Amino acid sequence: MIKSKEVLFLLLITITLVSISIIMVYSSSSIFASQRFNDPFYFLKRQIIWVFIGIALMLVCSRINYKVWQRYSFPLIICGIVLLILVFLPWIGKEIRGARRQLLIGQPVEFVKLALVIYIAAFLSKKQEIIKDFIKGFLPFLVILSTVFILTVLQPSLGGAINMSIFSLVMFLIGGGRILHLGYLFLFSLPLPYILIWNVPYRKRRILGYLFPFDDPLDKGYQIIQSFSALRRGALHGVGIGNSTQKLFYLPEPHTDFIFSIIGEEMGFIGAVFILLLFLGFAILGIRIACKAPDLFANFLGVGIISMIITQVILNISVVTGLLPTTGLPLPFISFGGSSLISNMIAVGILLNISRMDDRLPKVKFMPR
Amino acid sequence: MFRRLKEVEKRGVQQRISSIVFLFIISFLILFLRLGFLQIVKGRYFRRISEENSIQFIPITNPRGLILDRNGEVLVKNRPCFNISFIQMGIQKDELERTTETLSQILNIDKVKLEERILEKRNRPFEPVLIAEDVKIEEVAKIGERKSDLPGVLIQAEPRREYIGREKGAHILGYLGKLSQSEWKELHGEGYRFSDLIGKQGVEKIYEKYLKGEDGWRQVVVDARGRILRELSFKEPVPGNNLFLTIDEKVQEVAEREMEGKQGAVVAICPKTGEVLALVSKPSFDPNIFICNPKETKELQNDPTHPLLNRAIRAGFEPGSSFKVVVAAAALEEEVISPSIRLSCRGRYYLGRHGFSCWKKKGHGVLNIEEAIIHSCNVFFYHLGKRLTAEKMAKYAKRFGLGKETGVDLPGEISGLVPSPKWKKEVRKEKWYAGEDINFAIGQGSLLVTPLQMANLACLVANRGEVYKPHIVKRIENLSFETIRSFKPEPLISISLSKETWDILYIGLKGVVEKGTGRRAFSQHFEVAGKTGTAQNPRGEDHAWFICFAPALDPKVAVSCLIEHGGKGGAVAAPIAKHVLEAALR
Repeated sequence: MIKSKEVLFLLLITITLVSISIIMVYSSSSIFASQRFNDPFYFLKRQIIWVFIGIALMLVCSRINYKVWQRYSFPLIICGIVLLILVFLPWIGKEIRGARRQLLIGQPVEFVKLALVIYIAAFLSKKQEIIKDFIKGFLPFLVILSTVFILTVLQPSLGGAINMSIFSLVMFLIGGGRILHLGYLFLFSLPLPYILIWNVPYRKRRILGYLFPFDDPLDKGYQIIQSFSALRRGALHGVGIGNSTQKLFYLPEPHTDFIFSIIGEEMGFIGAVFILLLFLGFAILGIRIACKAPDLFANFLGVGIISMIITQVILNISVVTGLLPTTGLPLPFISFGGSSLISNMIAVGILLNISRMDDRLPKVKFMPR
Repeated sequence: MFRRLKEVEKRGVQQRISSIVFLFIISFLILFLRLGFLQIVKGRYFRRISEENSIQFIPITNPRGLILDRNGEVLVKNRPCFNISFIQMGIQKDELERTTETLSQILNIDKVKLEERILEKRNRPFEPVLIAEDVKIEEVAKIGERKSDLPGVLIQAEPRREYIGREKGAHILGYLGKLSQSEWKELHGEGYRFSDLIGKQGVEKIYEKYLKGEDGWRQVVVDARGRILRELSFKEPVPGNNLFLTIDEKVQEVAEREMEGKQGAVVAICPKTGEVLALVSKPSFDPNIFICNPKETKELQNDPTHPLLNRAIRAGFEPGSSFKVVVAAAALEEEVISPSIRLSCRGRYYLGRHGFSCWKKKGHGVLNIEEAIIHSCNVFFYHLGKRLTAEKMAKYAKRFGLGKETGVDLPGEISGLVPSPKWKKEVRKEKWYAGEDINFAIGQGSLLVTPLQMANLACLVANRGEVYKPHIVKRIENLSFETIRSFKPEPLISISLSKETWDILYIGLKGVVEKGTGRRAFSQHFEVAGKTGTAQNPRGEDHAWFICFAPALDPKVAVSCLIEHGGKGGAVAAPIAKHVLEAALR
């Protein structure tokens, strides 16, 4: 199935990232897990299972003609919206530390993001002619985006919502949308930060913790200070895998959103940069695949998938390094968590399929109607 | 780079994609710079600080609630106990060498074993390795003095449960143990840590949630040598609530002494309230060893005399003649005999060709029901059994509280067994023989009772039909000496029989002690009413029973005493019961 260098390297990078994930999830969670569940392998076992499921689904999706996604893009996004609503039904949704994000099958937000990418790609490729029109081009796009956005915020998953709006706008711009329309959107959404952040105490605390972490080192600024000190302890070549001190009592649940600071501590600047380069390589390869694709839908889909993953990487690492306030986003492929890993692996599978339909292969199947 | 777009190129998609890639690269560059700043520019500087000072999280184990007797005498307390552990994180090889050397000298343990134990946990360097438990205070002082030479060594003080009376009352108090896998699953959300101890038996188990309390913690900044520089936060542990038992330590003491070296059980209850004054099961065990001595624990569990078994509530025995109290009441109520009718005993009773003997070979001569109780005449009761039939006797036995748990607040009580023809057909799939009616009347056969049920039977006669639920805990007090729960008498059995029946039972039981089989329970201080029992059993020598209450006119204590394979109830069990009564009524 490997027909080009891009595919080979993309696969290699993906496998490297999930391997690092297995090592780091174990390293960062073992002590926490043995304290909490009396089983140091508690998270490791689950992550390994998810990696296998993810790889299997990736292979399956690489065999599914991506045109299928185009045809079913609307039902898919509707399904996604329904899933997001189901979370609020008390007998289906599970409440975890105040958040209703969890569904029996996992966190729907992760899958909805993928559905949104597919939907926007399909929308943009279909409406190329009228995309610059405010009523016909911009408004329908805005309706779907804001529905999903509001439901995601209500989960509550502000991180997911921010991630979504960034990659949607990136896709909209690439698809030929007008910057002026985005200007209106910007004006319209000015009061949002107040509603979404200042009104919700824990988010307000996170922002304050981000702005003045050392004012209140034990409460609001706690996580970010611990993350700083992990990164600083790591210095150039790190303290060695398994030797992090931050992972025990300092950083709460170090195997999820803040796993990158444990990587920075144990593998140092070298390791952290290596991971960043892997993601950068992933982005460039993915975009090359997208550009080579035979039709507009595939172009947009490929770029959308890459934007979805890469903006999440940028957001997560910015949070860990203190450039942005805490939002609660996992690091793709690496953080512990099934839904995020599986949906990203599916996304990679779709990219692989796009590369199979590369224009170097003889085109037979699709005649433009 | 992205030259392969076709018709799309015109629309400038490629150009826009390039600018997005450019944005990504810029963002990554910013992240590189930020990481470089944090890890390289500030890294060196911070590394030094963070290795010198670090934050430590120290859990504080809370003391469990005390257990006291009804007069406030402490039965179970907590004493400070010092444990030495070692954290190997950041300790150099030569330092480890020196530390183990010094430690093995002070604590008198083998250096090689010590090193092995530490190295076993090498891959979990943050977890303290327990080196010595319950260390003597002098040794703790020595380690404290040389703390600076002993990096990584921790002295942890924790409250340790101490059962003051050791074997005394062990079956009431119970013991603590590590959480089992299933308990852990159920409780780990409720403030339990995996290393916690939990009540496994006795009141420690039943009242676990009152005794437990809440753990606290301290978050402190320590320097490289483990000295505490500053406290960041503190949560005070909440000690558990104190349990006041209904047990009277003095009565328990006497009962324990009397039962020394024997196998069996004694229960003393206040019939007016159901408060258990003493409950002894022998052989006993020392609950202290469960906390730290797994080898002895194992031995106890495999001991053929079953010292862990609470014989007062968890073992069923044939009641023997003490059951005649029930049969006599049934016979009078069912009017199969009247108080004045006399029957003759010639030492043997024939059912068809099969003979049943009285314990007195030459027979009791002619006697009425009162005298039959006093002298425990078997032949007289064989007649009653024949007339009553098993169904009626079983009905009365059940009404009198046999064959059913009493509901005492101790774990694992059994119900005993009251057989009947119906039961035998359903459970054993066998026919009920007429001879079994005869045996039933003298408390033999499949009938099984617990010493606690028999104490309740004594209460029932003492109270003329009223029995309160036996209980061990009188009240629960919190730290500010407020009673948060108290246990009031709770009616368990209430039956009404004619006054005549009660009078005859009363006179009969008093006669047993004055001039009958229970003369060795006679006390100079008060009148005792009681009934002996000598139960044949397939496992060896007869079981000796004595159930009684005193003072006969205004009963304040009821006692049941069982000596397994002890011989005659009147000779063995009666004197023990008398001493317990005297201790309780003094």
